Amino acid sequence: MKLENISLRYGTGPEILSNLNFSLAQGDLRFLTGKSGAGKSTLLRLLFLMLKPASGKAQLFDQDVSTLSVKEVALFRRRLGVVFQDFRLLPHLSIFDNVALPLRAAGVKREAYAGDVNDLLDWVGLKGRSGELPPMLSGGEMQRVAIARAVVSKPQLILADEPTGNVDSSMARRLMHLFQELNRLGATVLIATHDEQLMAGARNQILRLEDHTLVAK
Amino acid sequence: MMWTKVADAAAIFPTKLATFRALGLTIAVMCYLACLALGGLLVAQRATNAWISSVANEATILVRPLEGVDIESELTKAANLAKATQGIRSITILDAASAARFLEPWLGKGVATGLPLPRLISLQLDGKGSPDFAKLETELAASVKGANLDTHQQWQSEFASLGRGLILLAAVVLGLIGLATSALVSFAARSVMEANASVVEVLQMVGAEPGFIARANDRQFLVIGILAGGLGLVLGLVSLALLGSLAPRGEAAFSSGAAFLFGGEYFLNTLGLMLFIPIMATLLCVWTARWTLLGALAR
Repeated sequence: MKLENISLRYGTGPEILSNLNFSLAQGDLRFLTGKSGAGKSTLLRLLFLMLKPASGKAQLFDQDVSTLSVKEVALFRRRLGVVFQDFRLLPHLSIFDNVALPLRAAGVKREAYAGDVNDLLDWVGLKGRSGELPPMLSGGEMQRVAIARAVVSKPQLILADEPTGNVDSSMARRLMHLFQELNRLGATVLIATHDEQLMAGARNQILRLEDHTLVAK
Repeated sequence: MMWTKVADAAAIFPTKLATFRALGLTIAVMCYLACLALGGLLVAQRATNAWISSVANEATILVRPLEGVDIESELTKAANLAKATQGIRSITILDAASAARFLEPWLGKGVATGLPLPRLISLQLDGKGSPDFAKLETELAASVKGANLDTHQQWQSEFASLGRGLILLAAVVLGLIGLATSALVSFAARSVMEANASVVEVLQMVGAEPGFIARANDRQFLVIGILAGGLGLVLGLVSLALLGSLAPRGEAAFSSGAAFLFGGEYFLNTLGLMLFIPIMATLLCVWTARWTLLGALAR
């Protein structure tokens, strides 16, 4: 991933991101931090192709994303996995169906993905609970379901927006362990957080958003 | 293939939305109105055809009473000329009492009896091509005093024109109902998408293409189309049958209209055509919803 001179504003409002430059190599694990309202979530939404920059050049997987069609954006997102602070699980679908959603969207048949989904639920410690609905789970459990959903299609890049924001510290460590494990398996991981404790345990480079732009820590 | 995709994508969106109930009710009403409009169209078309066919297979010779002329003798001459004309199957000379009965609705019972009334000869055609009316008309003019031939051409033309007008009117009503239904379904589809904005966002987030998201709603619109369309059809058929059964027998347009809809030879044809209403409503519902969602998701 490579961003060059990226600026972004909502409508005619002030710039949320200004002249932003950074790149991520395959296999990197980075933290994105900054004060509340600094634009961390906005940057992640931009990287996740939910927003378009006002100026600058954004490249993902060596391709300029500014010219992608709606269909191409959808196909691109299948190479990305995203985790939100508020989980974004569908409350009327079972845990199994929530995790399987990216595969269903990609047209994979149930018989082809059922084994993988169950293995993933096992990996995040939710074996035997695949039929339960999200409202029956705790915050940490819902976040683990969200992580399983983010990685079920084996994405090359994982973007996590405050993934530990709604869980206690022991669950935060457990979730971080999952991200590190995914990184070891080859995925590039970018975690937006203001949890200093989470970052203190990691020796990886931290990106800090200050005055609407990025500074390496 | 399409159904596999529908089944696979089903249930991603919550099914219990007030929008669906309102849409179902609206489609049922629209199908009900469409049934009435189609019923009207069929009655107009079939009645017109029946009238034209009836009028086209008959002609009339009118013999006016003239002073010093024996009308019975003139009637016999006219009947003989008609009998000799190829293409005329049979003739009926209407007696004076029958001629008087024709005027009863205007003059009252018995008033016309004894008046010097024109007499009619009804000619039944054999339906194998048109008789040589021009020749008959010339012969009548030459040898029968006070005779006129009426081939009913003017009536046929007026019936056909009236029938075409009614059919056009019913078709316009059906078209407007379809248009209004499309607009309502489109509005409902947008409303469903707005109500499920969070689901749409998650689907987009996991890489769902617009087509997948639009198809995920197909089953709900399909079920609504079938159920609401079916309900509208049943209510429409019951209403048309009731209108026919409540009308006074023998005279009212409704009772003969019901015969044109549910009479022996028309029954299956009517049902077959009426079945198109829920089918079209369902297709309209599913496709309008899909294209509306695709249009909205493409932006």
